[in-house]
Amino acid sequence: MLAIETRSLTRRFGKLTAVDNLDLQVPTGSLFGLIGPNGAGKTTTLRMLAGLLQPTAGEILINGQVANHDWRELQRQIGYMPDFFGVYEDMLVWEYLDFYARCYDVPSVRRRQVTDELLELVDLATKRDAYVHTLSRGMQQRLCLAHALVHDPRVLLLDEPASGLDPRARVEMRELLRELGAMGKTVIVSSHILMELAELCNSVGIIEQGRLVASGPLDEITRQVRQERTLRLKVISDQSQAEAVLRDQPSVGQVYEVNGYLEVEFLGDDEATADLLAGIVTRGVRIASFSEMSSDLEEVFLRLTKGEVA
Amino acid sequence: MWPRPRLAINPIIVKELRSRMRGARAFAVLTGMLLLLGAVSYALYRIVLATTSIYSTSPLSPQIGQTLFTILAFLELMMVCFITPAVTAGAISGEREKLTYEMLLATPLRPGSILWGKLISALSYVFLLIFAAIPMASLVFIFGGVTPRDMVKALAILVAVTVTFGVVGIFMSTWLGRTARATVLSYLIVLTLLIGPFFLYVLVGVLQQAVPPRWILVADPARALFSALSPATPGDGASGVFWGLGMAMGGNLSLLSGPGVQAGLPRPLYHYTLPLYAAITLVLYLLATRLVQPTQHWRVRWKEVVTVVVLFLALGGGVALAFALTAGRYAEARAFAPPTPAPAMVPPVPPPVMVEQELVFAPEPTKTPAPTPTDPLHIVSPLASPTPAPSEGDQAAMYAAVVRQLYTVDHTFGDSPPNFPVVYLVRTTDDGVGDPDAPHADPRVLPESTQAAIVAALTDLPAEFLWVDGADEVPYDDDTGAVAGGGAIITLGNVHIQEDSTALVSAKLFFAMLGATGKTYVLEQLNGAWQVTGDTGVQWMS
Repeated sequence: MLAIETRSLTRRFGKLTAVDNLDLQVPTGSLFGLIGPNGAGKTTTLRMLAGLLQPTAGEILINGQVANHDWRELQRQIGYMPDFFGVYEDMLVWEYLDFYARCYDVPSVRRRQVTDELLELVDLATKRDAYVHTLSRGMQQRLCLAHALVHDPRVLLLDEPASGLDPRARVEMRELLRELGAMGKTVIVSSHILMELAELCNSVGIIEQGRLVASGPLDEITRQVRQERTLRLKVISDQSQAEAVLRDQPSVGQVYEVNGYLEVEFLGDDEATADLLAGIVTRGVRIASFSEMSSDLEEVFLRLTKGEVA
Repeated sequence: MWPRPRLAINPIIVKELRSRMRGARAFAVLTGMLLLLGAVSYALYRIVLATTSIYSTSPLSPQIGQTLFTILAFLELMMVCFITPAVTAGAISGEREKLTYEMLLATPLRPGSILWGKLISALSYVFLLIFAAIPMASLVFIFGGVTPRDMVKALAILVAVTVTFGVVGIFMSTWLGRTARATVLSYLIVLTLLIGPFFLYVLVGVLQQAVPPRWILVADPARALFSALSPATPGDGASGVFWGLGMAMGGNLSLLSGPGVQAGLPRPLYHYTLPLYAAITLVLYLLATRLVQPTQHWRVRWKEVVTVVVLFLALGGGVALAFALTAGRYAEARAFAPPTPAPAMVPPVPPPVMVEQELVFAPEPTKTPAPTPTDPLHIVSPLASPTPAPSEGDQAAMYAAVVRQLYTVDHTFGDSPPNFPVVYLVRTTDDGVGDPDAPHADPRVLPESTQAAIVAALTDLPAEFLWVDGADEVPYDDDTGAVAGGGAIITLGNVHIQEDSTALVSAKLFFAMLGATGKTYVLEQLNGAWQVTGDTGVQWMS
């Protein structure tokens, strides 16, 4: 089941093609990272998904329904948080959420409850009666996220939710998104900073000059891009003997010793990895732990975009 | 997610009102405005008192009331003109500039609702300013001279102007997308409407050396406001200092220096202004609803086209209906249509002049001699023309009708006749009384028999009629300069029979300094009796 699907989605601004035949598939319940350098078309894509921008061509499906004339109704299934946003002055935090709850036709009996629950979720319960414009940037960001949740949407579109945040606020935002993922929501997060998405998302789409370069579960993409992986072993037998055995094996590159572990550069798929393990074990190397170090998205990204833009 | 509540208040209104009325600013503006209005009213009151005491007459209470009311209404109009664009020009562009607009559009709230909510909340603040001044403006009722109807009219025009200027501001805000630009352009438009027509009017007048067409002034909100207030003034008694000003500004110049025989009371300017403003409002609002759409600005569905057509038809139909319903009051009415005389004051027989009843039988205005309207010389021409002498009986009947008209209807006190206990009639005629500019020629002394016949015809009126040689014979109150004992002096002109067998008679009523009126009456013989059926040329009041 796909929460969001686009077919040949295209948007031009004059001569500039911001989004070019984008075929995006976001599975329901996934934490999807839309990654690309600045100007790649991430924001344009999200704005089209949120119904703020008319596609030049192509179509958008939300939860299997084509977004067309009944667009307003489909908007109820989507929560949108723009990359740059302002807050109203002369407005209290609870009024802010109450206002958007009214916009989404949340019945009056539920509004108070929804507001309080969301303030609890984004950790702003103590700021309930503060003025919105007095909040810190990180708090405003979380409040904005809360506003996108007042109508309990199934899909969340978050455009650079961590931009402009200090590291601590970034961690808080990441935890919040993880929590939303755990609540079963489909979350689409865009970012040009890969590290924050690598740890968060379970699938990604990499976008470059308006085109989707790669898309799918994170590990799949990683594998697609490169066969090279780094394996980490804890050897309890003689380490120098183990190193020698490893170097004898096919497709093995450098071997380092880091903090009592052996890190091995290895080129090959899962089959080859299993063969490697079997090979060294039969050669008498005693292994307490054998793992693949998680893939470095930054490297994947650089490899895919080939530095065309950045 | 949830069923859409049927009667939910527009969220924009809730939000806007919450933040707009928060803090001291809204109340400071309101208080400041009321204090200013209060101070100006008091100052005006003092000024009116001071200017009238120069002539050692006690000022007429209705005069103060009308002056105050006119100025208050004008001040409020100015406030509306300068506050309304300020509160609406940032409505949509402000959201764009503060980067809150996208989030708003991403909600299921329709852009049309956003526009509507913004307009209503911005206007309701201006309405608050207007309506908050009502209790203070009601003080004029203490002085009299202003009817609640006048106040309702003034309020209606203020509200209409507010809505129009509000829509102008919100349209600019939507169209230009920048608050600064929208504000500047809105103010420019408001300013153009405020002073543009008048400049054009004066310019055309100077260039053509004639009274310019009145329609030039239609777009002017101030002129519309004055036109709504001034027609009430002549019938409703005391003449304010600003009455002439109001008349002139209201565009009713034709009444002051107008054509010979009035074809009818001109329709007040605001009757045209309001439909014009309604049309402007509708067009700009509809354009704004298109511009506010995030996508597909100009993709119009046929349903919307039908709505627009229906709206315009409704507006046109409404205006046409209103004009048709009030047509009798303006187009057909010959000259003055006095307010129905208070029944208690009017004796049952013989019936006083009921102009409205006779309108049906009145000859078409085209039958009356129509002098060139714009030639100032012709204003007095009907009196200057040679006339056959009427019989003495006819003359007495005509004079009696004129005195009756002055006594029961044209006493300048509106609906509450003063019923002067004593009326001094001047024996010597004076053709200049209907028009101060006319030559005071050909004074004749009325024969004793005519004098007696006139008094005899007026015995049903609750007054004592005394003949005097001149106004200096009459006792005056030393302090006020008014005629002693609440009396009045009536001076009559000569009878001038016209070619169409109507007669023109000038007459003047005086009861106090600044309490006098004069006009030239048209009389016709209807059912064997001479009756006043209209007036002509200049009428004056002080």
